[in-house]
Amino acid sequence: MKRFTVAVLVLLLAVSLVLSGCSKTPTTTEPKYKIGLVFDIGGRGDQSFNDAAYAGLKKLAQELKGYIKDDPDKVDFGKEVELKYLEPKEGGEDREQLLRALAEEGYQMIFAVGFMFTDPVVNVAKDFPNVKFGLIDGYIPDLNENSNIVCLSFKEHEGSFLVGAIAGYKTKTNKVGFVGGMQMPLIEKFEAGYKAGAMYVNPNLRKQGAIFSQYIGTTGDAFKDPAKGKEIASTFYNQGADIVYHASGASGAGVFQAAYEAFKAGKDVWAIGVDSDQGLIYASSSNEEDKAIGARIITSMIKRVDTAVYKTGMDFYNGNFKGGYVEFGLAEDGVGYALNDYNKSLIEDVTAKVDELKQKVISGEIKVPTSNAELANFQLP
Amino acid sequence: MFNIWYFLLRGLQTSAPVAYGALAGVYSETGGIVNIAIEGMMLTGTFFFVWGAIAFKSWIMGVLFAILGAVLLSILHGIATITFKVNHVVSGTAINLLAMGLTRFMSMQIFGMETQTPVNSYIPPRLFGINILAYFYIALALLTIWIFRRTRFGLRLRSCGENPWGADSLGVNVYAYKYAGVILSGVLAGLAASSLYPNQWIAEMTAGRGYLSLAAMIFGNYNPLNAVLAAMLFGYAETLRYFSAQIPFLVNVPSTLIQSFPYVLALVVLAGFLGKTRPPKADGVIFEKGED
Repeated sequence: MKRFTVAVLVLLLAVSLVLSGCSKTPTTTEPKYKIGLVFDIGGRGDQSFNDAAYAGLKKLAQELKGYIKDDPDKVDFGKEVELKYLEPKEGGEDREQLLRALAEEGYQMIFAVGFMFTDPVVNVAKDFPNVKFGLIDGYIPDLNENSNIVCLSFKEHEGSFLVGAIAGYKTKTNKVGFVGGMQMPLIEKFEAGYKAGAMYVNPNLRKQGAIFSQYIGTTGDAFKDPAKGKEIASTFYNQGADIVYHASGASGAGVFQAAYEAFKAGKDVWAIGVDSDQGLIYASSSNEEDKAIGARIITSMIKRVDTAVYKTGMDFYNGNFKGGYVEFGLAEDGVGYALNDYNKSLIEDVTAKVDELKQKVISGEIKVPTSNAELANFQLP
Repeated sequence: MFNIWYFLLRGLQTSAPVAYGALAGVYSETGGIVNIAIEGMMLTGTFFFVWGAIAFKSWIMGVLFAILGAVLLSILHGIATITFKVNHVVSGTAINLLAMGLTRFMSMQIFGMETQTPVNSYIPPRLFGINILAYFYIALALLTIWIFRRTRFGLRLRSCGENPWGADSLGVNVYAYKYAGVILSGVLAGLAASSLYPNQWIAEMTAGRGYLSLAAMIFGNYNPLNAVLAAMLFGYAETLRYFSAQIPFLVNVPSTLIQSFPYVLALVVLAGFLGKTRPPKADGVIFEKGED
């Protein structure tokens, strides 16, 4: 019996030796490229800016046969490129630290999402001259082709022009509204573009007082104050506006809530989302309440942060990275309006006309204003 | 056309969280505990509201949870300042920071999202289109005045804020009254949270209303009714600018100017031009039993 046991053991050992010889485990091959990204405060799941940046990473992973490290969704298409993202703490004081951490870990291209990264990127880029940085939405002066920083910005006014046109076509009360987050030039671009679009297609909106416009506040808090977003939008709907566009980050949840409540009270009103396809995000939620709110979002002005991340990442991969400034407008597919399965039937009748306007903007026939001062001199047809 | 009725209602709603917050401040400071933690208590309350409402499918549970969350922090503030004699402002600041992290952590644990929860449909009923809680704060302020002036509890609470040593020598359990004041402050912060935006929790969504509440409280000279009226002045000025497109003489006034008016007024008042504010005498003073 004992001898038998020994024989079996020996046999097992032999087999295992042979087998282990066969399955030659691939020794940890280093990925060819490592691309990192640091979100803005809010992080993943903000259903807006950061999620769009994440979508860009995912697309890069897919295209370049890469994987996203430490990702709960386990995005993994191969080992060619390693992608990784980090999230700052609330308040975001550790932005620079996170950029530095990625640079030290050997990431050769690093994206920083949001204008709050402007100074951190300048500081870290100085210390890591061989690492390339992509700053989304920020502006750093005096860059050139040989800089290791590229500023990726968007022509939000062009996208806002299109959703403004949709509002102008679809309004029945001939009154529309705009809710801005923090009062600053960046958000004014949204406001001016939106007003221009609405006025361009609908002469009734050119009268004074036909377009309501309010900002939530003058500090960063304005982007996370849904209560105030809701208050402002509610008063707009009560004063007769039937479409309200928001450019107010997380405060926009309140604008949608206001639209939903006004709708439940028997008013035929809509809201327009911003940055990502917010209608789709709400409508495809598993929560019934979210779905009902999503049905009130007629379209969204999409800022294609994913396009910016994807295109810049591809350029880097192909060795075509150039420092300086890249602006993503309608022509580069960097901004646009949302058209999905849920809102298709709502705006189908105007998409052809809106796309025509889009062509006019791309060709330069329409020059969309970027501020209220420019709006005053905007050529209406 | 300018709908004055609708304007009054919306202003009532906008003022609600700050008004409740101001009352929260009044209760705590009347007992002599400086409470700058209202911001944190309110923020925790907003998260607890959504959590309780979704978990039990009831807005009443939401309100109870909001109160629970705010009271837990207020007890912590009490333990720190009353039992362990920590500087009130230091403890308050710590609690505000704690609340920011705590709510995010809990949201991550419970809902899997760090900066927001799903939309909650179990919200307090609406009366004329606004949160029903927005109708009670004036009555509550009057009730508070009555409590402070006519009840044993109120008078003793005030004595603990004015002269705790005197109250102690007369046999009042000063520690207990101070705790009661802070805990009631938590209850009101919970109500403030429930009246803010019960539909969803978003990180740091109180956006400084807790501090604004303190401004209203000081502006109102630590008097419950005046504090609430100050909160309403802030709230109505804010609401007024939303309607500015419809009010002829306001059309061309920049909305930030309308918005800043009450704060300028508050500054003028606090700078002593229109009378003087007087906090409870022993407000913020660390009380040690047996000393004087």
